[in-house]
Amino acid sequence: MSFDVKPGRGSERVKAWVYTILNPVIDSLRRETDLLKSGNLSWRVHSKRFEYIRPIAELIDVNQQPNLEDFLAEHPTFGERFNQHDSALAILEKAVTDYVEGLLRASDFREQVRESLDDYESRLREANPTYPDLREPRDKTAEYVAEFLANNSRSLPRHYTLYAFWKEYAAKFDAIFRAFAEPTYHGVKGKTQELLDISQRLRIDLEALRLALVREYDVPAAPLDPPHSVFQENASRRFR
Amino acid sequence: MPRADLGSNLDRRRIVIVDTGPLWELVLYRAVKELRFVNLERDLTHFVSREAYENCGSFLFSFRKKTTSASVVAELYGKIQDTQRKGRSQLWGLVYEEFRNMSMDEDVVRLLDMQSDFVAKYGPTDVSLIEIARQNVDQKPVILTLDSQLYTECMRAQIRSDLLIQVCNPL
Repeated sequence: MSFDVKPGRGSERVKAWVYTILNPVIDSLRRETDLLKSGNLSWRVHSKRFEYIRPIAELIDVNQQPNLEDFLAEHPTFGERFNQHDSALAILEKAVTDYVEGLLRASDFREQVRESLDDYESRLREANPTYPDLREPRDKTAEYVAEFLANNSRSLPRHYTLYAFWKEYAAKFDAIFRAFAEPTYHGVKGKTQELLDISQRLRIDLEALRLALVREYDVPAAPLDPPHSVFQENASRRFR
Repeated sequence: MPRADLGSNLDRRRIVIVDTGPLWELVLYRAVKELRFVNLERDLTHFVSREAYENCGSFLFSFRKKTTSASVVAELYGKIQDTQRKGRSQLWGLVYEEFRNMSMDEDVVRLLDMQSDFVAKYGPTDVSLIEIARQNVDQKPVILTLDSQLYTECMRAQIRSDLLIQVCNPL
């Protein structure tokens, strides 16, 4: 780091970088790498986006954008790294969306969903009358199934309407999903790994920068509570 | 105190009306386990184990219909507002997913349709849940709550209620 005006010990400016930029981004990247490792991309059929894996700017409170700009002005290489992350994320998001939309357009897939629903109604519900009736969300079931597949959902929480259905047919649909367009499927897996690598490296480097900053400027890695600092959004709320 | 069963002998005509506490607990559990919101872990009061979470899941799964009150959604808003701003959109994402995946219905009970002395005593959310139960009496309604005051009032009104603690730790 080289500054025209070097921040002093306990600098509020450095605190702003740590508390409003580094901490939320590091937290989110930890979550992101966990999700990517488990294959849960949190892709949603209604938004065609990842719910919990987001571009870096979206991880930072909108009110803190000036602090982000200030941070990047002094650490321009991280601007490039953030762009690299966001670019890999956008590529993966598009690849997953294209793959799932292709699957949903495939008549074979729709037919498999219909057959499974018929089997569920005639065989499983016959034997288990307490299982929910899926005739009502029938048209939506293919979309739910596609979303579960995109997110590598091997099982569902027991209170979900499709819990019993998915328990019975997940393995069958997983095989269909992998085989639907195998080279493209492997392409998606490769892009997932690329984003994971970028995300992990970025997190490690941001953690190292945070440690360097708190040591050099003798600031805590998180705001102390109390006293309340300007970085706490609302002093009356519990800081979680 | 009667103990909740997990639905082994239940038919699916019944409806469960879910209070704010259990819904918030479902959201918190996923926030902590899936999204690493570790600071929220201390707020998890009932799902202290995977087994407790799954027992609640089995209980809810046994009902043909799940519904709640619009007032509950307003209370969830209050709970989310009480967390750090940076995680609120993710928490709302979890609320939406829980509602969607549970096929959760939502009923509106107008203030003018609720008795004012009851609202003054218990608050509009509790009264709306009781009113929804009364409107669905033919479906053997059950109110799931972690609020012992609401539970007691349900007993007085001869409406079946289960406390989340019973559901998490069945006999």
